[in-house]
Amino acid sequence: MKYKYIIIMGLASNEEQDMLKLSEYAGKGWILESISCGFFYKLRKDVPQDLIFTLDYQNNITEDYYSILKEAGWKHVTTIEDEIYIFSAPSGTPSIYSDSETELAKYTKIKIETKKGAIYSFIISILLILLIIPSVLISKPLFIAIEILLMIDIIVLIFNIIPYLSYSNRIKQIKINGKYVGRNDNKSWKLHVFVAILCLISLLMDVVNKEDLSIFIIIMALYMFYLIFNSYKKNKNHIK
Amino acid sequence: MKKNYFYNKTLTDIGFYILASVIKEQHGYLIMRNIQILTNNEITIGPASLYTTLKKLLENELVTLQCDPNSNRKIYKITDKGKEILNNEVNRKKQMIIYVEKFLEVEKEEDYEV
Repeated sequence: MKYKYIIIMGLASNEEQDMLKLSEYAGKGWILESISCGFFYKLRKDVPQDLIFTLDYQNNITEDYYSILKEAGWKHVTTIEDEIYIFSAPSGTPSIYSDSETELAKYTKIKIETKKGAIYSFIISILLILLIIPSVLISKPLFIAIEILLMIDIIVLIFNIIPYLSYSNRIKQIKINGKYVGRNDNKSWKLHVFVAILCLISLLMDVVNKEDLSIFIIIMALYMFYLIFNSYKKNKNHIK
Repeated sequence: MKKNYFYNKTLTDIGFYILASVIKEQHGYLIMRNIQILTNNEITIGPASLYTTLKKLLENELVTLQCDPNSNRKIYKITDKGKEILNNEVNRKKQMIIYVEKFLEVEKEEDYEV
């Protein structure tokens, strides 16, 4: 069996484009099988199929969920953390949401969860930053331990804030227009620039202190630059 | 306090159709098809919309879940509370139509006068 892995651009911020991309891959014979490590789509080599993909958020589902979606032509592909469900169906199958009230409900719950996650991890990061100052004076291993914790916490924070902003934007759009029209890049690129600058400052400090560069921060900085470049490209196309 | 979605507000359109379609007990996956048939394909309900709405109707005790003795599958049925809400909604909608028709009649009469 041949497999291919492609990176998830963002289930929250890039839902429609990601599903479209999966559909294009299916047309070339690469069918989504599962999510790997939380960052990649695992695609299986098969005969080319004309499929569309959709994503749903549900908590505590009953068996009926699968049978109702199956009746409408949607086949369950994979589930992430008992919360995110991905389905596929032959091209032309009507979408799984038919009205804005229930579509709003889809995003409301997950928005609240990411908001909570963002607030908690933000509080923790403040506490850790406060701890890191006296820890320098006490011992080096303690300092490193706290630094690692802080790094992990900041990653958790980012992976909550970015989805949270996307969900809020979506909900706002559905409330105003009755449907989601598209991503509002004006705000998200500012956040990406901000995070990228933070990463660069952190790297610069490492250089000044003659410490090893943190691989986490490098990856994060590169990813942010990628996102900034993407929105720049999109903006340019928009103007044309 | 939990927000009582279907009680404070009026039923959503989709909630109205679904509630009406479980007056007789019904399998979840058949509700979609029945609504489509009875409305001559005018109303198509997405499966996730159906599931989410059924869940809310259950939470608000407007429908109940029973086990189908024949197939061991779950069936939905309207409750007395659900019937009351549905009837209120039907009356409200009828009243709305009566009002609108009055306006339309007035407009017609004015047309004749001209």
